[in-house]
Amino acid sequence: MAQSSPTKTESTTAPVQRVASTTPARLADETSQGKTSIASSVVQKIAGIAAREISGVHAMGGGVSRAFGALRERIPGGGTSVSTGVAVEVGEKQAAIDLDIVVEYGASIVDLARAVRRNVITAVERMTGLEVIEVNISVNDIHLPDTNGDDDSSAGDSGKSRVE
Amino acid sequence: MSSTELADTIAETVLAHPAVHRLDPGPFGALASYLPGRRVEGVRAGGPGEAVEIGVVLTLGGSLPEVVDDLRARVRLVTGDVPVDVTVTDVVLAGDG
Repeated sequence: MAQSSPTKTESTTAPVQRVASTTPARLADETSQGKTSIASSVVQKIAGIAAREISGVHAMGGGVSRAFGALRERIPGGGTSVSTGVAVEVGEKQAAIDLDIVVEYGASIVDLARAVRRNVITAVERMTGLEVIEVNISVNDIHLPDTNGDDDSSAGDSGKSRVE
Repeated sequence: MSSTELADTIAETVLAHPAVHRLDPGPFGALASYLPGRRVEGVRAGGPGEAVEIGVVLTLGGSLPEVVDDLRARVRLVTGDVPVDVTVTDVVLAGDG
């Protein structure tokens, strides 16, 4: 169907179909060979992993979703919690990402947010080819290092007993 | 080549790719080839010369568009010059089962 003669192209030598695989093409370039869709859960996972990579991010998600996430992790087949705290909107070429994060006490939130944003944008754009138009970060809690009572019970490395 | 063989061949081709974790029929299980007595989930192949749709779960690592392009090229070796729509329905980490 794309075989009609090149009538209005300014360069007569340009072939109608570009040679494939010159660059890791954007998703929209693949029109005649089929289109590519990337599900939002894909973007969610990549963004969640990229955000957690930044030192100073203690956990992700608001209080409710963290509680459900801790519960869900214990259920076999309940799904991974890597996408907890990540909401995405994915279109054909672009993605918008909202993150809920809990920072560690002592981290500069402004610098941390900037680093998270940069890492998430890099990871999602490199891995999916989608353009990330915005990353909204909401810091909804801060994790204090020495509060045992308020600490998440999932701090697995504090397995030592109180008594010696 | 009958459509039965075509869907199976496409499924084998896709699963042979190292970055493909499994085929996926999508959120409602609708993306499949409906054959007598069974169906091939994750591949919609009507017949020779018709557009093909596949749904895959990929292993995370590297660029997804590159993997998808590679997959599409492999499938088109089987199907010929038809559009191949690829949907990445999910990803898994390399360590996950």
